[in-house]
Amino acid sequence: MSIRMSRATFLRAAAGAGLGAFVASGCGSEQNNRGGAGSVEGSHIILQTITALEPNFKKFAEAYTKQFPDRTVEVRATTDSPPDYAQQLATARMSDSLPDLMFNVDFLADTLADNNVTLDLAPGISEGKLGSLTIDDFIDRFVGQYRPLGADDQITGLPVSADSSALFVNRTVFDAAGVSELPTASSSWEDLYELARQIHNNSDGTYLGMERPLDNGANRLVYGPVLRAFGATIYDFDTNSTDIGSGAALDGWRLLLDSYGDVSTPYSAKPQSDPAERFDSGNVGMAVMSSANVPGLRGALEGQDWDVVPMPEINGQSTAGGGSYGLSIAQTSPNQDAAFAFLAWFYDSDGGMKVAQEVANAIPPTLEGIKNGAWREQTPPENIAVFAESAQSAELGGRFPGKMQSQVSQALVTAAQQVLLEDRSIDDAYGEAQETINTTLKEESGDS
Amino acid sequence: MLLRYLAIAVIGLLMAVPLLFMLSGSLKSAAEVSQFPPSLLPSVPIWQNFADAWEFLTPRVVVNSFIFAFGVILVQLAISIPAAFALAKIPFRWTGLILGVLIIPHFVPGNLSLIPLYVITNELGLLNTYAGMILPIGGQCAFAVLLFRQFFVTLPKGLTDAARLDGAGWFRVLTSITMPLAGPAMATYCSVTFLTAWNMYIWPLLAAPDPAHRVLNVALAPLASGSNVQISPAVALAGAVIAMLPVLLVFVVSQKWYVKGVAGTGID
Amino acid sequence: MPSVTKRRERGPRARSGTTYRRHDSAVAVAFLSPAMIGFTVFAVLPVLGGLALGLFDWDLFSTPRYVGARNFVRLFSDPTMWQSLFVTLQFLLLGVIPTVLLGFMLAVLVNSKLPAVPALRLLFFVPMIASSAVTALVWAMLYNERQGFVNQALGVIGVDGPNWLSDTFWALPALVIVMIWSALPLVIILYLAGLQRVPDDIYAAASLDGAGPWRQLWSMTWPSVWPTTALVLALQAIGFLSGSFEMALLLTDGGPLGTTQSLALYAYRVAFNDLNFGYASALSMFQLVVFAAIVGIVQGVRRTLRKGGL
Repeated sequence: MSIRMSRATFLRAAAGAGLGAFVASGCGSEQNNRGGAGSVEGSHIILQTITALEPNFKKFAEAYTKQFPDRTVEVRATTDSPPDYAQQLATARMSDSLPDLMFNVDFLADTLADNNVTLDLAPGISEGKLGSLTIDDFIDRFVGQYRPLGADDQITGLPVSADSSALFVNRTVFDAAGVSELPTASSSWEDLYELARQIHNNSDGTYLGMERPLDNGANRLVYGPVLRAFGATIYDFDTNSTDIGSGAALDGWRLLLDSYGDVSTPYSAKPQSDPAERFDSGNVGMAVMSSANVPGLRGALEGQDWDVVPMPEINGQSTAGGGSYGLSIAQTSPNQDAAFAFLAWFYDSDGGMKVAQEVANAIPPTLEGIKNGAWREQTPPENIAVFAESAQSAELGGRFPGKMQSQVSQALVTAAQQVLLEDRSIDDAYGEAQETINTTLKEESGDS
Repeated sequence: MLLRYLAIAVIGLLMAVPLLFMLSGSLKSAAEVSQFPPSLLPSVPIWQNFADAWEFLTPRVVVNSFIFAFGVILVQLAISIPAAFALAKIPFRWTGLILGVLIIPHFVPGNLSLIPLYVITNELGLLNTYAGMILPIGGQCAFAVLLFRQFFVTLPKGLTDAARLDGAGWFRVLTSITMPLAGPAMATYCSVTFLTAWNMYIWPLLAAPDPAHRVLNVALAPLASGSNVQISPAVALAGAVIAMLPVLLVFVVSQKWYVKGVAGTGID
Repeated sequence: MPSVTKRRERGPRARSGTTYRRHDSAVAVAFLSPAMIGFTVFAVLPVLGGLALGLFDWDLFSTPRYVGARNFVRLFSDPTMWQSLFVTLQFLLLGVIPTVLLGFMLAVLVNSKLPAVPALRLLFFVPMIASSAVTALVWAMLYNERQGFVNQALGVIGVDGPNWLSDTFWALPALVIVMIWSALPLVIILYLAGLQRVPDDIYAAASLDGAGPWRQLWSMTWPSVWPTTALVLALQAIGFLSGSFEMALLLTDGGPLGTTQSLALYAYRVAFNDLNFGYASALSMFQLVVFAAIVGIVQGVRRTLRKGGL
């Protein structure tokens, strides 16, 4: 356990943390030459994902090796926390030990792409490295998440599944609260609020009408599509600015801020709802959630009667949102062809996509998969096919540059708190939020 | 005396609410654990939760956790006790300065020095080794040094002086006079540090990412984060209970060192 | 601290004289070296490295870019920084002293040879053993506005409780209570060790004087555990300053309106949410400087008071 620390080693270590040398000692982004095509046959690749997805990916890896006995995929997963995951990738990069394939997520995607961590998959895909699949076989809007802003022709990741939102309804709660009318595909947001109030008032607060749709003020899955439906752009790449406090956006905020109080719960700054106030507690009538929650709800709401309904429309436009984690290939990977080969199998309707639906109840991000997949047969919810529709109409537009996302959320949460806790006018609060975000956007672009 | 018992029991139970919550929750069904208002006790105890949580562990992971925690403790004891003794008992010009140096780095949030710590460990070529996991944490010995020093300081000066006059060297004084009296400090140090090391997550994860060095907290991460929708929160609580057991055991063992009991305070 | 003043009175002559013998110093160096080498390599250097990043622009993945003092200049025009500094000071003021006093009293309470007390004592260590996720879950339930235990209890006596964790006034005190509760076990366990060294005879003498238990507690026990108190104070200052922001992250997200966002939490968010490690380092450096200044002022005041014969 002891280490011999020679003077030179000590100095090197000291320098490693010291000013100039620290910078040089491995934080650099100079292109690594280790990356290359490699060979597919007899390949061993490492796939790094988050722990939540680890069990599923282990099953994919198993099925893959079963079909191609000379190829193995080692699945590694150690964390779910975004900061920890980012640190893990960054440190792995410093010690030159990045995996071949890695989990990617919207807020990191731009940073990883900018710093040459992730490989641009577009050339490989058009060379046919995904087998018979071309990029047109994927649901375009989900791939769009991994096209760097301003470089639309590049693809730095492929979506793992096509998760989109719907209105989840717990009929058991409606019954218990004595509310006989149920939400339908043609209900408006205001109709839903009215039903939620009835549940709340009829049951004297024992049941909640709705899980708070905005969370603590900035649930992008909800505010994104609603604001877009009212006509806001949210983020415009060409002018590098937001209109999140403009007239159209304000209509959206007015609607969404109305949901606190007796529609859902009084406003709370907590980032996550209390367990008892979540849809999966069985005390809550409705919730806007993503299809990714379906498998979990099957366990939590066992014995209750629950289903999904399409999201309400505003101005004739669906307010369904969505998004997906991604899989990316490392630029440093010496096994890029083997990684592509795994992806080719993974997205094949008879390969990984089949396993994904069987073991993970995932909704495939391919057009073929979403149309004819086995996922459509698995109930509850009875109406699960709703997600086929919403995945293809989901509003994923108006995303901010990845690094900006958390500052945008921060500004929006502040605005919501000013309105709800300090009675500031919506116009003023969101006007200021817009100004704050625009200032930061200008600063960030001035930097680089 | 009865009053004192009552106070200990009532305040103790108040402090222990989360434990009771964990224990009862770990035996509930997926539906019951998220029910509101929460039921005090599970209607039917579901022991399967523990079996499910156990699935995430391998013997190797458990062994790794013990190697890591005991390794940190041993390294820190070996370097800290002589240092603490010197700072407490040996007249030395730089004592004050060293005490300051030991405290100051801790006023910088730890997560900012994490990456530099990684760079150093990488430079020393210790990534993916037990040494690489243990030594950097073992080197952060300020708590150990300060704890033992404040304990040694309270030892009567006459005790060490007499031994010195008898011609004993400082090392003899440390091993044969001071150390045997350090029981309570040792118990405190071991339980606190075992807990800290046992619960460490991000450092073992970064220093030794390969599966062969995985520790318990990293292995149980899928349970703890609650982000895997297919795992019941009750199983997550069962995992937390399992992870807690060794810590509890160390605390139980350490209790026998606090033998004195101030009968004379008159509160009895 | 009589030893300090004594040395000062004797002046520099004592330093070069017999107080520090060469042999003693050599032994001290030998005893201290292993710990100091380990501490320097694995604690001091990483902190210096982390602070040095304040001069750079770095997003964790790019090559750090030298930007001079820009991050430090930004500190002073950043209203969030000033608010976070104020919150940090509130945490320190409201948290440290009650934690130390409560911890001391509870340690005396459970420092007993009575049967079954060692087992019951374990209950007092639970806040330390329970994971932060479980702790946050339980306290959130207690503080829930509609159904939480706190407001139901207040309802019994006819008080309409606030929405604790989302109230711009109450969120901070509510969070401080959670933090004190989490910090108590370490304090109790340290005082327990300290109490084992309190000589019994001081109580015998006090009893003869007719001092009641409460007076004995504060005039006998409390002074005799002073070395422990000094350690506990330092550890708790560190805890409330830079350690325990996790609860705020889980329970209030630093809100509402930044009222529970300490400098440490702010730096954490700047680093990991905004991926701006340079500015996060500048924030930490600033925290270090402010704290050093506070310590310096306190020391100065104490010295002045002592000179004035107080």
